[in-house]
Amino acid sequence: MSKLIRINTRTGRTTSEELKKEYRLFGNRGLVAKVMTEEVNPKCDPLGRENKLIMSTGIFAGTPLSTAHRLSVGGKSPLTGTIKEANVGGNAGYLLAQHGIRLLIFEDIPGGNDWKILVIDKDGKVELVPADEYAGLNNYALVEKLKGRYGKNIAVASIGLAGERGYLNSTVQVTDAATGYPSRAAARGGMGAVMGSKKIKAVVVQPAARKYAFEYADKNKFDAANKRLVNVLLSGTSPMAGLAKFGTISFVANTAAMGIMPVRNYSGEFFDAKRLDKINGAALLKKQEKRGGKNGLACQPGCLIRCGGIYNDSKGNYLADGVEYETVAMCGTNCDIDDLDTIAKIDHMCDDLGVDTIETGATIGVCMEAGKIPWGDKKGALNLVKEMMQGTEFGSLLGQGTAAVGKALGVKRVPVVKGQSLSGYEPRNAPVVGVTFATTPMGADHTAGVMMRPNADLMPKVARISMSSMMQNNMATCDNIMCMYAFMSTMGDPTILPDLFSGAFGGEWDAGKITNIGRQTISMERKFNKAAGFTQEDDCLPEFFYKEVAPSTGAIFDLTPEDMADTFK
Amino acid sequence: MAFNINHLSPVLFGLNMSMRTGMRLKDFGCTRVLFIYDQGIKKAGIPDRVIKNTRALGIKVFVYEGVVADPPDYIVEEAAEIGRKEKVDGVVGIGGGSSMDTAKVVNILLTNPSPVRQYMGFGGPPMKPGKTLILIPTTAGTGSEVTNMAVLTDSRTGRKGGPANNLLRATLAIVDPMLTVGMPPSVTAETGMDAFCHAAEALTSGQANPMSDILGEKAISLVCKYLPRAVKNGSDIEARTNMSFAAMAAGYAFNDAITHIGHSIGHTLGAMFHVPHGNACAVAIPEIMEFVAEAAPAGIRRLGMAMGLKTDDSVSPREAGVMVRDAIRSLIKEIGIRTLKQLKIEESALPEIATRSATEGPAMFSPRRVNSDDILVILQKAYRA
Repeated sequence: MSKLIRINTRTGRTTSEELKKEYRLFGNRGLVAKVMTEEVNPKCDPLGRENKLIMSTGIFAGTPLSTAHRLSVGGKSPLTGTIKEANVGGNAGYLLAQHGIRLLIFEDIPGGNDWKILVIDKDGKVELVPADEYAGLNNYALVEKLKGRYGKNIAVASIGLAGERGYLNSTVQVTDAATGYPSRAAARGGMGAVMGSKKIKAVVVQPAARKYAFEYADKNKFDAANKRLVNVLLSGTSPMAGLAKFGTISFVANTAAMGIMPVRNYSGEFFDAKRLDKINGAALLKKQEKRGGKNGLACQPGCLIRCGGIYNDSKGNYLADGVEYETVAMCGTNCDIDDLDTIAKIDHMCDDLGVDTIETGATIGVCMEAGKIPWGDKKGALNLVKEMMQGTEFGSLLGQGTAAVGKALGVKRVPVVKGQSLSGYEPRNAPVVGVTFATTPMGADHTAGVMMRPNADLMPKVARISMSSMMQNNMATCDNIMCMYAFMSTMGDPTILPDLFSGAFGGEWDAGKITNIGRQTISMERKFNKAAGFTQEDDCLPEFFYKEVAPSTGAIFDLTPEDMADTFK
Repeated sequence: MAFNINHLSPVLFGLNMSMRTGMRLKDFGCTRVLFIYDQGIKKAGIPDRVIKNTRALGIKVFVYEGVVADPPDYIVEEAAEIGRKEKVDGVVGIGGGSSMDTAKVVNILLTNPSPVRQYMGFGGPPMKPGKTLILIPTTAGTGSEVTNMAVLTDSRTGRKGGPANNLLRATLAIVDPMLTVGMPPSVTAETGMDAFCHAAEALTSGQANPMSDILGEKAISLVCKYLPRAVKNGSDIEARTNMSFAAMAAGYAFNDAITHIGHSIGHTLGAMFHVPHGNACAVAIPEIMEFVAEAAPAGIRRLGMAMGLKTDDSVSPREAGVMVRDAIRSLIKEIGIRTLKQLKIEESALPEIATRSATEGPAMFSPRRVNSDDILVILQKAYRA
């Protein structure tokens, strides 16, 4: 049976428990919701003793299902005050599954200032060990050093200086399976700060000497369904087939043409087509042809989507792992920057320091809106990130996130919901995403459910809300199981997912029963938030989206919290 | 009963929707587009935003900014020359009827040889379809955005006319009431009465059909309710929105029912005295409706009831005509439409106006045979009203 490990960060004691039966049919985000609602006081201080840091793997972790090994990092967010689950690819989920570990729960906070790392060795021994030699390092140097000590094949989930310093935009970085670099981010909600509050610098997992064997109800059925998915993913007929060629940067051209890509702090303008040509998928490919670099890399073992890549500088040296759509949107067009090298540099610095590129891009945009640096100022943007790295007075403020910076600089147009920045989608031109931003229990987050339909603002309010609801339930379901791109690839054959469940766990499964996992997850999250003090009024976008017409399309966002109250009905 | 319904122009309607012009052009696959408008629209800054958004999407934009009222044929030729030279694959007309009608014909001339005169009126050579055409009205009156005809001035004769063919229809009309907010009260009133005349004449036309009736009735009731409000307060968005819709609905109505005596007089006054089109059509519309009442009993009743009058079967068509006449007269007085006298047209000019009007095309769609003597009587009554 798979297990959960509790780590008391005050006493240093670790205990192993068998995973409760009722937990088996939840994974990743659902497990975070389970633990948070059952074990954590919703009113607790996110950086205090009562909060817990949770790491969890998916329902099918330990099986060969493609993308089944995402890692979720959860707890109560210090950025939003809500429940938070941020999930990430990389190899940590895969190696935890080799040890049969579905959950790591870090409890309490230590009395002193001593940093620890949690090591899970090849034999499954779990131990907190002193990390004095690692404290003060950013992620790339940290991982290099840990590999020197624990082996090249380890997985690392770590925090950089941002997490150590308690930045509210801090991430937990995870090593990428293809490159080995800590370039994969559980980015949103400041989970790095929660990890830092517990003085955990890193979790190190060695490959298991004896691999945990998943206990199938009907292995043949599971394998047959998995084969059907593999065929879809390998045939090139998946709607996600293009991701292996470009990565998610391939979304740039279409989202920009729909006015969905944010421009100059969510001004609602278009980004000029000629400038866009410098930062879209085609531009990336062109640079890669000249400089080397790669696309089509799998961030976790067994992933057939392969949206990962390597971006090199003009001398052909590694600059960053694949530059994602949201990073281009937030650190590029949102800051009026049309230079891939600058965006990649920011991306790399953020990964190294351990801060969220989305929150960082939104924060820089707000600084530009305030006149702190001019629009499109590449050097200025890089300097702001450097200040965060150096921990200067202003850099420390930047680390507190977009809302804090907006308040300190007196900016009226601050694109946040529940304290978290909007993540690369203009809600007036993508109103279904707007509903998701407003209502998801996570604070503004595209991963909770995106639908980019042009002219969706012309559809009735109920239709827009219904589409967001459907997407949010689907994504919450997906967030228990696998990567969204592989999940979406199962849609063409409605027998794949039911057969995977039935083969793994027995019993009859259909789409309704599967989606119910997502519904229950959201329901638990909303229950937590309600107890934490959130009300319907918090499910609202910033006022300027309701008042300012988007110059690109003439759209405004017109769904009030009252309109959206029935989203999860 | 047999009739044509040709008003199939797709429409994007709504506040600020003109900002989506570039997106729609991109959807249609356009890469090089000619924008056509006049200096007044340019000064109002209306094309700037639309063109900026179009360029931002990577579409190459060319402009023709020289449209004038009652556009003469040579204006159309000038604009078409730019379009051909630059090999555009789309045309956007922004403005009132003059700019939209120019755009319609320019679009045809992209794929058909000049001169445009050969396509004016009936019986010209067959035409090939044009390219992508988007029409964006900045007034609420003409309805041209959804019709299949264009009115130009023949520079040789000074008379109005133009091609009428389904190939002239827009690929898409984008009706954005926000663009009408800047119209001064007089232009609001004049263009609004153009829409009223389209609907009133369609309802009483010899070629009215059940579909044009529905559209005409709705347009009339909206104009009666919202035009006085829009004239009084140009920033009344609800009134502006309803007037934009009314003008569009009236355009659909008369596209197939066709206007009649009001527009024959309107075209004549426009050609002879350069009276703004809406005002010119409206000067005698009360008396025209009285004139046709008995020949179009169902139409006059519908018109009256749409105006809120009790013109049901309890009154005779003749009585209904009088009631409608008085109500329209009261409406145009309220909104400041100038009378023939206020337009400084001498009574002695009326016979020539009548003679020319009787031979203007639309008059043949009157439900009652009409000649220059009839029109003179109508004009004299209107003169004294």
